[in-house]
Amino acid sequence: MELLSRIHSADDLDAAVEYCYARRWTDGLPVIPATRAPVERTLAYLGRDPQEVIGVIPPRNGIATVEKIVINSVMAGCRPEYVPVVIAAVQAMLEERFNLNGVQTTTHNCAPLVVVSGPLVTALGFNTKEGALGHGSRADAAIGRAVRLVLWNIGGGYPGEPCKTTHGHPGYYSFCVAEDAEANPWEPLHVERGFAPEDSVVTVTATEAPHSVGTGSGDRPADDVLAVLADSIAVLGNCVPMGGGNVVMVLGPMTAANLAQSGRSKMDVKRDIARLAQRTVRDMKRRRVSFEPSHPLHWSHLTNADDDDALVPFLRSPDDLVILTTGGWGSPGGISSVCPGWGGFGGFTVSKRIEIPQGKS
Amino acid sequence: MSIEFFDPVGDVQKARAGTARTLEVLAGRKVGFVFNQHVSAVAFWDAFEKAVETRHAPAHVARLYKPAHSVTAPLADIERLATETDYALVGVGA
Repeated sequence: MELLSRIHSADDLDAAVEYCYARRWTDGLPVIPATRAPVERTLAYLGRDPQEVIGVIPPRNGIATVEKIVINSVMAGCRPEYVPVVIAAVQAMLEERFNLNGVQTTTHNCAPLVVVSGPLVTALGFNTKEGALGHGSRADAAIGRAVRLVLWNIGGGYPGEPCKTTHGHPGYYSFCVAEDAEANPWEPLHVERGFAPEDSVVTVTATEAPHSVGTGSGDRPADDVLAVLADSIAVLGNCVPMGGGNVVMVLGPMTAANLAQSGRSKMDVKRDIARLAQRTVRDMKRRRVSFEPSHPLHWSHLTNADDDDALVPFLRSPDDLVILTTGGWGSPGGISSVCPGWGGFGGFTVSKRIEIPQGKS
Repeated sequence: MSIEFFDPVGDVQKARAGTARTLEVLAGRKVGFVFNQHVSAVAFWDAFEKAVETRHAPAHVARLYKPAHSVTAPLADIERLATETDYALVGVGA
């Protein structure tokens, strides 16, 4: 198999790992040097032309060929069957509405959150129980890591220059979560977004780090649970009200069950949260953001800005809220996580079907 | 025994080379203003546009204001501006 990437060498594995650091092929965590055998094994699994161009990754405008994505995936610890997920995530991030150039370079602390739903979640062994957004599973960790290495090595997403994220967050290293079909009381995320139940789908949104939201025990009134979830969005400092940003809400199973048992569909929940996630004009006037009131994305266009008691919605539409269910059940109370997006600037939610090679499962 | 491994860095896509034109004078030319609408530059940009229009008396003014400072202007709008104008002034506040 002829590959075009330059070949480097080192005396042994230790030296190779250090070589990767010296070449700035990693953002701080160690990587596995991409030797020929796993790269060729992965390419054989994919059955695609190694030089097929998936896209151009900003801000460096690096060309993401299948070969380069595979190399970075191997460095991240991916098994061959993980790589279609990585490719789908790259394709999703390259949709214009995601504004990947902005996501990679903004001063905001947002990183692409990769959500996987569908049959592949079980087949690849994603962690959908305790620690679903964190540690404990090779699939979550390696796929999230591969996406980051693609953004780093192909896209040139280096902090400082050109990437200006003020703090970043731990999800910049790896940020991938899977929906728990078993615990989810509603239609799967990908079905809600127009895909077939048997499809496996990647959904990306650029978000801040997850913020924990305690929603109380499973018999707490659903109206109170919704109020708490909405309050976690209507935070004065976040970007969401600027122009209609997206929010990813990761519900713990206890919280989701509580809401479903109240008779609400997922769309009902989204509508209720969108209706409740608001602040008064009086509060909003304390926000000093980088828009003049005349700017079309400014919140003052959403309400009577002269009435201090009028309410300003943080979500322009229930569809700006992405809800999935995953994680551990909890004990004294359910816990969810809210991941606010980047406002109206980009990082908007995009879904892509994962293309599994023919004859593979 | 040495170990060999592949380079993960992607080749950079070459930018399309445009034809550079030089304007001897700005007076009577068609000007385009591209502004990112950042709050820190709103007052400056307004004064800047007025100054250009007063000093150089353009024959035509086209404006392309980005929807937000972090959003890329749509390529189609940039291409339209390129066909409508002789020169463009690009303003960035941050």
